[in-house]
Amino acid sequence: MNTKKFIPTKTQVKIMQLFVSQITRRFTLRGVGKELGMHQALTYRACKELISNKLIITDDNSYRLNYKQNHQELAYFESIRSKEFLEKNKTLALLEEDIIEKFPYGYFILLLFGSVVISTKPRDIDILVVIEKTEDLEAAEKALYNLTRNYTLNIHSIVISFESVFEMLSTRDEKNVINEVLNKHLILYGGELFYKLLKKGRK
Amino acid sequence: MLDEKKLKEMQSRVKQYMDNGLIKTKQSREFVEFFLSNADKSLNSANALYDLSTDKEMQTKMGYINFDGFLWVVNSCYYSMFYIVRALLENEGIKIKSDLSTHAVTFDVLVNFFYLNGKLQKKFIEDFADAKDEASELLGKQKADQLIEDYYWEKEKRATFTYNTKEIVIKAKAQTSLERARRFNQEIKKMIR
Repeated sequence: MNTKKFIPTKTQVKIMQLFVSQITRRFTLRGVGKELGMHQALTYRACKELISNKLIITDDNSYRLNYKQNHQELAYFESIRSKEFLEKNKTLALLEEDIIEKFPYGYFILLLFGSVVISTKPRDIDILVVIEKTEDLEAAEKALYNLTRNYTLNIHSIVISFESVFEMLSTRDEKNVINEVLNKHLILYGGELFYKLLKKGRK
Repeated sequence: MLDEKKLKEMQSRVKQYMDNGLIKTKQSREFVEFFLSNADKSLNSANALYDLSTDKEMQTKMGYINFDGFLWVVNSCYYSMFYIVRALLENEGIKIKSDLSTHAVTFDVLVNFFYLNGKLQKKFIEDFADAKDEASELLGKQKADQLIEDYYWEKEKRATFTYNTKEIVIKAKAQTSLERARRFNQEIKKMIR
């Protein structure tokens, strides 16, 4: 990013929310405008600055998210997405608060994935937690279960370690939870860490 | 359960409590987190007791063979609901000063300030009332049953049969209590947050 502090406009925040929601998807600028119901000229003008600040980059005549830089900014756009979502889902907001406050590992990522991200009436709630150490997995799974069991939601939770994330990211075309998460997720906690792992793991 | 007559009685009791200074409204909200934390701790205790009561491997590992904590699951669940109601009242600036029968007063106040004005649905009030009744009934009944069993100690077979039946019933009640407390606490927390 440029040394001058970049403060995105409302339109740019909307555009970035779209890009972070589908990390590997390529968009044309016309496609971005169409998807967000924006005037083309406005979209072009807004994207120009996002490109110059390297938040989005060109890829085969189209654009995609630059997940290798500006992690703090990307985490900010993710946080706006999840905040908007949680405002409409009070029970999940309570659960999120509970996990962030009581999950016994300080360094972790908490995200939602699957149907809950796109549907207002999801079959179940898929939760993914990423922790640092593989040896802590069993204890972390139990801790997460003890937090989620107090909610009446139909929750399916998965806990994986950094090591598994790297392993899954290295196999781009394989169907696995991390590859699924990239284009259908809501990061509730640990946005910066998520992008850091993505940068390191996705070659 | 909540018929007109009872509701009127509750309203008049609450008015009396207010006149006597046992209940004060528009007070500071200093203990919300304290009661919320107590509610969580009580529900987690209920979860832990339920797990230990149903997991033979855990019982062996921890040296609690044939552990049965179902009775206290029911009690802890009720307490978690009681504490979350206290958190709700505190959040609304309502303080209960009474040391005597705080539980009964809390129920009356909940109905008066949250059910009668439509803030809380009837099913949640009934859940709370059921939990309160079951906890006190089970704890009382346990003592009475023990006395009867002691008295008719010679009818061992019958006593064992009664005991086994009761254990299954209490286990089912414990499970119901957990589901009820989870549902109730989740709803009340949404009102607080």
